Amino acid sequence: MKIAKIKHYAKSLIEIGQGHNCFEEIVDQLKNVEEKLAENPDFKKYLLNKRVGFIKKREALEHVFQDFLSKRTYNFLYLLIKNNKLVNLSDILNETNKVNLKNNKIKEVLVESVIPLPSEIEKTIKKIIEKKINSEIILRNIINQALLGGMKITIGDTVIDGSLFGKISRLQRKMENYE
Amino acid sequence: MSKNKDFVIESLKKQITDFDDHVAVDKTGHVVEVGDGIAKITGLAEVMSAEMLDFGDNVFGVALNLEEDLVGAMILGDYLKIKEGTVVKSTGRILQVPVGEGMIGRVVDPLGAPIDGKGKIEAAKHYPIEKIAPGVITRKSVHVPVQTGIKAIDSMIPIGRGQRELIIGDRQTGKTAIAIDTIINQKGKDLLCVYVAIGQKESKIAKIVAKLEAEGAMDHTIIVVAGASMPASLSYIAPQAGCAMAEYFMDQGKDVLIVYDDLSKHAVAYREISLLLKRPPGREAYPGDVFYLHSRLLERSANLNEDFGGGSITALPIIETQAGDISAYIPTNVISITDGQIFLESDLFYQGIRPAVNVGLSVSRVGSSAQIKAMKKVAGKLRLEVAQYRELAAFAQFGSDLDDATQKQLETGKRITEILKQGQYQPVEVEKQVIIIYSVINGLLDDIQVEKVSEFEKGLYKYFDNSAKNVLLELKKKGVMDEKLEKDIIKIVNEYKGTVEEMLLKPEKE
Repeated sequence: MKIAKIKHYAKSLIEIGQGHNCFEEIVDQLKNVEEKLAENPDFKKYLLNKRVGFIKKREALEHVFQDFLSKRTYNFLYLLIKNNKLVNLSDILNETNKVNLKNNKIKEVLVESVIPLPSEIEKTIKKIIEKKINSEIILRNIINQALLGGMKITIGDTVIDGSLFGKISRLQRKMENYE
Repeated sequence: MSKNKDFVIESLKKQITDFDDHVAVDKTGHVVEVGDGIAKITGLAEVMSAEMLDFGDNVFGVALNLEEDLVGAMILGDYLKIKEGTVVKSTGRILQVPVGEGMIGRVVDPLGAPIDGKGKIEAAKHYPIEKIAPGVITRKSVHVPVQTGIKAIDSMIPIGRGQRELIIGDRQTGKTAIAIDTIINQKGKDLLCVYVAIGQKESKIAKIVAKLEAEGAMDHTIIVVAGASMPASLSYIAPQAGCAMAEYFMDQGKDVLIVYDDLSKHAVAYREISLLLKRPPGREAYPGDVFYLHSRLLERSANLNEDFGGGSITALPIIETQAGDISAYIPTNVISITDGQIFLESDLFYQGIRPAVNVGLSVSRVGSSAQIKAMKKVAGKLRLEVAQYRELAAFAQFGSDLDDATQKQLETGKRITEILKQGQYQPVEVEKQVIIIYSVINGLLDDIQVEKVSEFEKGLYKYFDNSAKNVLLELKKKGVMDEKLEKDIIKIVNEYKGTVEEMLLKPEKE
């Protein structure tokens, strides 16, 4: 599906959530649904099957989740089912997360390293980056053995590569072009 | 051997110790869709239009469509190496090509990389492939000729330095031949040449390179090749890349001739890229800006005035028509952009008139200001004679009896047609052109058998070279035809006629 359309869903989800002060509730519930669907591929397949009528799907959904979900969450899921967009649930949630962070002026920063970062270092990195880009950030640490050493920081589209692997590949490139 | 090994080790050591690396900061994006030489990329905030993108693995691309969430890019090179999710780095540079003296004599691809197996090219600089054309105040009117060495063109459709003269015609009418002859004729002169082959068969290019090498014309020529097997993206940037290489020399105050062979294939390559990028198609499915594409390319040809170095770029774009249809979209576009056209016709070609220039439809809007004075003097009459002959020849076909004057004009016309024929790779110096044209329009050749005219012409050139070199030199030096020279020429031509009497003189009727 086109990114633009996913954005529309994400945006409306946020607007509804904020309008009724239940954004986190809805998102949590949807995440829960997504997880459950991933765990039960057969059920997911059933919901995605175009030959199954909407009413049957609705009944099945209500039967499974009972009143664990709020009315708005149900409505959102019904809308997705009606529009055949249930496949994109995870994309929509990702996008929603992104847009929400952007609205709150929070940036997500990915720090890839070979070993888990000690908490002091994590804090220092957070501080430095926050100062540098002048906005609040959420730091996520990912373990990537392929880096060999050092770390790689991703802020939005910008990648700061200080890893050993990156250095070696730059050296390789330089040597290849050497005459 | 060991010395060599030591050297290699030393050089490696040096490279490693010299390697001073900081943390790399890149703007990146991810490929979401790839195919047919086109990639769609998310991310890449702040990417510029026409910026070079690095796909890794030595594959580069150019950002063309900047949309709300996606960047559409064309891939220069092998797009099969790129997968969904491949990280794309922006380079912060507009697409550039290496330029400089080192390029001369080389065969390169549109990115400036050598493909002739003669080793690395030392580039003096890098020039962006897109550049705004020189403005009005930097230019000067065209007044120095480009000698093509082709009699029909130098006399009747003169090309000046800084001009854009279109060569248009069906397939197999000798379009490339005119361009190659012109390049060969620049040997030992001050005009550098760039030949851009766009979507041409590699065999044809190999033939051209071999011919230019054999004629010693590669010493002043750069060949930019986007072969038929290369992706459309390379065909699309080839003319701009060639033009950038030419601009380097123009900026040095030199004169450059650039041949785009051919722009119809360039338009087709651009159409392919545009359609794949989902830009809306227009007439003949070409995108709306195909006119602008060619106009801004050809506008980069200029004759700069002395304050700006005095260099020039002369462009010879080539367009291939389908069945002589010059009113198709691309031909009309390019005709309206250029300062004239040389129109080649297959009918003439098959009649044996080669180069198959249709004198009636061919024009040069710069006209006689780009001719040497002597040529101007003889050529004015020539055009008129040719036109009159055409008219008369049509009437004469009815076979009615003609009066003597008409008969004479017809005979002269036949000889003019013979003189304007010229073999491939046989450029003629302008002095000799002046002499032969002067001779023919003044009726000096009227008593020579029509079939023998070209033989006579060759002999005459030899005769001038051997026994009247001073006339040639004087004509070359002065560039003007005065009375004394005229008399000399008449005298020498008659002298020569005396020596070839038995062969070339027309037997008297009765």
